[in-house]
Amino acid sequence: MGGPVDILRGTMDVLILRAVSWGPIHGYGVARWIEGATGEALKVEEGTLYPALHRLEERGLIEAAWGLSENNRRARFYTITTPGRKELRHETAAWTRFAQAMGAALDAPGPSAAPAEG
Amino acid sequence: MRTREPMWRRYARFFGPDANADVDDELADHLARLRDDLRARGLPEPDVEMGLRNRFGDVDMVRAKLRRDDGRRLKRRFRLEAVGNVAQDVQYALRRLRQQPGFTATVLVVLALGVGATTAMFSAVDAAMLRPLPFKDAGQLVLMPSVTLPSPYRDLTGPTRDDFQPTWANMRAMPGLISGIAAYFSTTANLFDPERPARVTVGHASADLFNVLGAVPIVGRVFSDSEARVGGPRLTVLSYGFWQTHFGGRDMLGKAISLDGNPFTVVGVMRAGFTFPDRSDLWVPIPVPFPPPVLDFSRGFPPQPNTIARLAPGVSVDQANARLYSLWHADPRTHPPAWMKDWAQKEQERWEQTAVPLQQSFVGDRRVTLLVLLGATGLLLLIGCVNVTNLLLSQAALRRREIALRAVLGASRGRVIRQLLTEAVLLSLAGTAIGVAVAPAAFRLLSTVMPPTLAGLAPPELDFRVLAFAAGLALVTGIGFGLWPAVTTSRSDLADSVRGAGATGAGGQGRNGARRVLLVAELALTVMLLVGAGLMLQSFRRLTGVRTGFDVDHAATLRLDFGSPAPPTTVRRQRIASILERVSTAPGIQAVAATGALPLDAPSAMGLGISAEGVPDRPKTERPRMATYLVVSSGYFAAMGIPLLRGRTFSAGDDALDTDGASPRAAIINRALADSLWPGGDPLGRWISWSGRSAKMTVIGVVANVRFFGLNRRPGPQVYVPIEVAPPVSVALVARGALPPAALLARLRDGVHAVDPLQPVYDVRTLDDVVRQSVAVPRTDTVLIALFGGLALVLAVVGVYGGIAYSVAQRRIEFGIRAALGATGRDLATLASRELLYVATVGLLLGLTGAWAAARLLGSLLYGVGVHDASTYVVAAVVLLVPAIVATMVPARRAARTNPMDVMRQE
Repeated sequence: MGGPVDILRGTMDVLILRAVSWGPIHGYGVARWIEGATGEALKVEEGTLYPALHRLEERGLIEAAWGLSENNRRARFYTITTPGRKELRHETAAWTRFAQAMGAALDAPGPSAAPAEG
Repeated sequence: MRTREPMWRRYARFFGPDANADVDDELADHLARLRDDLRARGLPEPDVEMGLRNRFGDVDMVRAKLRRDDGRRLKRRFRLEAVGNVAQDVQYALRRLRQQPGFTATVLVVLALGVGATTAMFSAVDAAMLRPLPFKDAGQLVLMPSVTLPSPYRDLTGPTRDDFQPTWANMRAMPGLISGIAAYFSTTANLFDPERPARVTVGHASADLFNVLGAVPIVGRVFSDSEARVGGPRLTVLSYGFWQTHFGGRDMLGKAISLDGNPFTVVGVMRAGFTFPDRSDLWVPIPVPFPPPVLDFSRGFPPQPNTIARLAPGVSVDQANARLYSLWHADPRTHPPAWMKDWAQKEQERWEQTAVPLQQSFVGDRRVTLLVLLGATGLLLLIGCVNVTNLLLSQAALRRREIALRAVLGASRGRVIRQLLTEAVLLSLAGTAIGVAVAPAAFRLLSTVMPPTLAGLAPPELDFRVLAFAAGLALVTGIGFGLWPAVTTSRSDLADSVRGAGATGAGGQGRNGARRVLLVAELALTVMLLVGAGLMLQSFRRLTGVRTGFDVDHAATLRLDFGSPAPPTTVRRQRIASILERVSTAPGIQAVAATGALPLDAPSAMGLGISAEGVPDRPKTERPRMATYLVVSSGYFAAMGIPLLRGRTFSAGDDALDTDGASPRAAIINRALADSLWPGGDPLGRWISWSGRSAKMTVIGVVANVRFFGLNRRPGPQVYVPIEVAPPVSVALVARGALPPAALLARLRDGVHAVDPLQPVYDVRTLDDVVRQSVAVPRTDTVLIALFGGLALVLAVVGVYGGIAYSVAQRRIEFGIRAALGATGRDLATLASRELLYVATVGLLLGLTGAWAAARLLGSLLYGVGVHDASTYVVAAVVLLVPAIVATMVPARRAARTNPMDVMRQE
């Protein structure tokens, strides 16, 4: 394994859903969780989190509310909604299948082992 | 973790969500945390800023993207919410309207009547009289009475009037002012058609007429300048209607038709609806220059061509007149010589008005009727609007509590207003839509009432501008007054309203006042219309009740015209005699006769001065004694059923002419003449003579008076002479017999065609129809005004019902208390209807006064009834009052049945 890889398209949403699934969390918290959970292997440009967060909110998968942070700043907290949970389950399963399929494919023997055509 | 934001934050978003501020706050929070973290890791300050950039990316770009996206989302959400709210409002409004079917239906009916009936009525009035002429840009069309067609003969001896005023040629040379000029007149002619001989109206048109009026043929072409000249080809263009009815729409191009014996080649068919002038069946060219027509004394004066012009686009009539006047006044060459000064002086005014708007010259003497009917239309629309206003106000007052309650429960003023607006819009839209849907049907119904002869130049047509206006007014009224409760409630003390002050009447005094004023206005306007309708009905009843002086039953008539040029007198005399002989021998005919002019048939009978035996002539300075000169065949009085009072009717030999070769030896006079010449004396055997003639006619008989010039005109003096003396060119035949009208008419027609199979007959009808058609105009006026009155009555009764029903509902508590305290049902009913009594008295008095003052307008339309006919006023008041009282009974009985316990429980 070398340096951190760029986060794959479409994976950000699943990661965010996972991040907010434990309870209200602000954007900064999400960034920190992703960083920690992936062992810093995935590089998230934190600015790109917010468009994704707002898009998920628009789709009704997460909810946002304004609250006050520990140091008395206005902070926006996100929580997952029921449709969000459903989506998360679905996407997780899909990811697992995808990863398994990719793994199987990459471990499979080369085409030369296949019987030759007449 | 989820803490509440401080109070002041709420005010930062006082004017609604602010997407930009939210984005800024959120990003600021993130960056601050990140910075704290980096610092906590002990990074030096410059590295902190670098770390921020590294980890977060381009802050400005992210911020811009978020602001853009979030702003868009916010807007979309607002829109969705608004739609959702409207849907909710509509649902709620529909439920409410369904809950009060009575109120809803009433408002809908009133709105529909107001819009539908008013539009239909106005369109009918409009079609009869007011409609802009059915020509392209009719506003630019003018008549130019002083500009005449050039004549081929030029007076060589000196100047003529045409040298000193704008001429035809001048007008054609001013394209900036006048874009076209044309001439027209109309005559009638016999169409010699072996299968269907017909009398047709011939429009004479200079080549440019169609172009000036913007009329294009649908088949073929119109005349060209080179064809419209003396000695040019005989061409004709058919009207669409005549082409369809007479020729069945078959191909006529290039075919010849025969008008008064002359062949005309059909070159075109005009578009449908164009029949100018005088409902022309077909057109022939007017030659330019125009030779003076040959005088045909048997027909009287030949028709004069009228000049019509189209002003250039953008030029007003006033501008055109001013310009023409200044042009002709500025040029010394066009100043008339001194000896023409008198004429010039007289013509001065006419010059200043070279152009007269076409519309103005066609409305003419129907102006008064027009005014009355338009006034009635306006009144009706006004009554409708007042009515809706009143109903909505009543409704509004009843809802004050509901609205106040909703306000107290937290509905914002905007929300309440939006809800009420939705209801008002729904109600108004529905009512107006019904009105718009009903208007064409109502109009078709009205069109059947209107005699086609009245429908002016334009075919009747629904006027969509008026429809739009009436619908707009209804919408504005409905919406405006539907909003009333929201506006007033939000101003007044909510607590008061909730406690019920508004509902018991104590707080609603001002609004009740407004309601009463409206009800009074409505009743007053209705009484005015009813008085007008009553006067017209009364007048029409008197008019049709008038004794005509002849017997309209079992008699029929038709006309024939010997064509132009007319055959000689001897031929006409012979033909009339042959026809009469044929018809008189046919089975079932009791009497048949010929005359020049039928009574009540828009006759143009001549009046002549007369002298009489033993009666001194009037001095020269006074008007001479006049009598109507009528030529009749011997059976005329029997055929018409005009009683012979003394003496005898004509017999053989009476037609012998005196030495002057023009006067008969015998005459029959009517009673009016006998009474005026020899009051109390015996006229038989005495002589009368035409003024200035020496020949004396002996009076051989006296007949009863006949209404001749109109049912509303007293019979004047008349002299009948034998038709053989001066056989007219246009003859009316009358037959009497105990046959069905169709058979009677068939006998007449057969008689005519036995003598000349190509002779067209027209004006074929019963004598009854002659009388009926003579009052077609007053009948239409009466029917229209009576309809206005009836509609107004319906609206007024609805209004009264609504008003009283409201007042009873509003005073439920009061009635409950009174009932509890021992008031009987009768007491309560009286109490409930007392308001009507007050309102009705004031309304009736005002209305009757208004009618009294405005009735003068009707004066010229009335016959046999004064504009201040007291009984009509009384009847109008009663006609309004009785249904109004009945309308009051329903709510009053409801009041009478008020059960105190129910009231207490509900309140």
